[in-house]
Amino acid sequence: MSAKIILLADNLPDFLDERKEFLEEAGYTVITAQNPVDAEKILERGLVDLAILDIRLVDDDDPEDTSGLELAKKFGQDIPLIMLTGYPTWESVKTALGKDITGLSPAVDFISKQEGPNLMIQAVNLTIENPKLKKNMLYEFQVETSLDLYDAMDKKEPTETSDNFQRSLERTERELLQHRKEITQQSEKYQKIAIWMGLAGIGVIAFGAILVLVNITSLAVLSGIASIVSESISVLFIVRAVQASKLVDKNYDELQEIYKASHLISICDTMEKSKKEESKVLIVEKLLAKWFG
Amino acid sequence: MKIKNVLIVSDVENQHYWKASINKIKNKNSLVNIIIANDISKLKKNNLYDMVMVDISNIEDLYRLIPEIHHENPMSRILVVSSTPTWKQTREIIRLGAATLIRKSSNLDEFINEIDALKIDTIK
Repeated sequence: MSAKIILLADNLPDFLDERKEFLEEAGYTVITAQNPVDAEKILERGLVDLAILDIRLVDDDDPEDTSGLELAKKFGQDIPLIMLTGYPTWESVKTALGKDITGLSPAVDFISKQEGPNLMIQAVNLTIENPKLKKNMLYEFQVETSLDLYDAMDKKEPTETSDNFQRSLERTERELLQHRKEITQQSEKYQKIAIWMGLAGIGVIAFGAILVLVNITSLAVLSGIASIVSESISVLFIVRAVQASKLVDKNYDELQEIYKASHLISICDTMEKSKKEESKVLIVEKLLAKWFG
Repeated sequence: MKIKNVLIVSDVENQHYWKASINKIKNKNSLVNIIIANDISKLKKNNLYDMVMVDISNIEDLYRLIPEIHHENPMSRILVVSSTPTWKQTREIIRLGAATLIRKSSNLDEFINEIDALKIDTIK
C-alpha cells in the first residue's frame, strides 16, 4: 500500500521541518506549505489524504489571522483536516469542529502545538484510515490513546471486551450510514448544479452564435464571456462532485471493514461456549492490531 | 411545516439567560416548541426532540451524558451551554457527540441563531 500523503501548512519554517520529520518517521509522505496561497493550491489539486493546517498561516502575532480556518471552511467537506494552533481558544475550536445544521464540520480534529508531536501523530493515525471506527473503539474502551487500549483489554473480562468491541462497531455503522447519506445528497446537489450550469453555458453559446450571424458582435462577445463563466462554474461543481464521490468511497471502505469484523465475531457465536469468548477476544486483538498498528 | 421540539435541560427558573432567551424565542417563533426539564429523564429513547440544549452548570457528569443522549436520540442536535467555556472542554464535548457549544452571555445571538437554523431546516 502506498504511503498516505499529508499536507502540513505552517508559516514557521523550523516548526514545519520538525513536524515534517516526525510525520515521515511515522510512514507518511509530507507536502509542506508556508502560506495560505500555497496551501490552497495544493488542496485544490485534491491529491492529499489529509491536511494539517495552522490557524495563523500569515502572522503568528495577529489574533485576527484565521487564514487556516478559512481554508478549512472551504475544503473541509472534501479533505479531512486537522487544525493545529499555538493559540487555542474555545471560539476557534467551535469554528473548526462545530457541526452545522446538516451535521458537518470544517475540521475533524483540533490540536494545540503545545500538546506535542506524539499527540499530533496519534490524531493523524486516528483520522487517516477508518477514523470513526478507531475513535469509537477508544470511546467504548474508555481510553485516550491506542497504547492504553491493550492495557484496558487486559483488565476486562473476555465477555466485556467483545461487548465493548461490538458496541463500537454498531455505533460506527450508524454514524457512517448517516454520514454517507449526507455526502451522497451533497454530491447529487453538486452534479445537478454542474449540469444546469453546463446547459446554461451551451444555451448562451448558441445565443452568441445567432448574434454573430445577425452581426451584433458586441453582444456576441458578452455572450461568449458569459458562456465561459458558466462553463467554468460547471467544471468547478463537477470537481466538487468527484471529491464528494471519493468521500463516499472512503466511507464505503470503512463500512466494509465493520461488516467484515461483525461477520467474524458472529461466526464465533456458532462455536461451543468454552471456545466462543476466547475466540472473540483473539479476533478483537488481531483486528485492533491491524487498525492501530 | 413541521414544528420543531427543543428540550432545554436546565434550572431555567433561576437563570436570567434562559428566561430572556426563551421569551425571545416564544415571541418570535411559532414553529418552535420549547420543553424544559431539570434533568434528562425525559430523554430516554423517544426521539421526540430535534434539539437538546444542556446547561453545563446543571449536569454532574456531562462527559457520560452526551454520548448517552447521542446514543438514545441519534437524530437530535445536541448543544451544550456554558458560561465559561475552555478550548479543551469545547473539543471534548464536540468529540463526544455534541454539535457545538454556545456561551451563556448577555448577548442572546448565538442561542437565537441556533433556533433560527432549526427553523430554516424546517422550511427546507
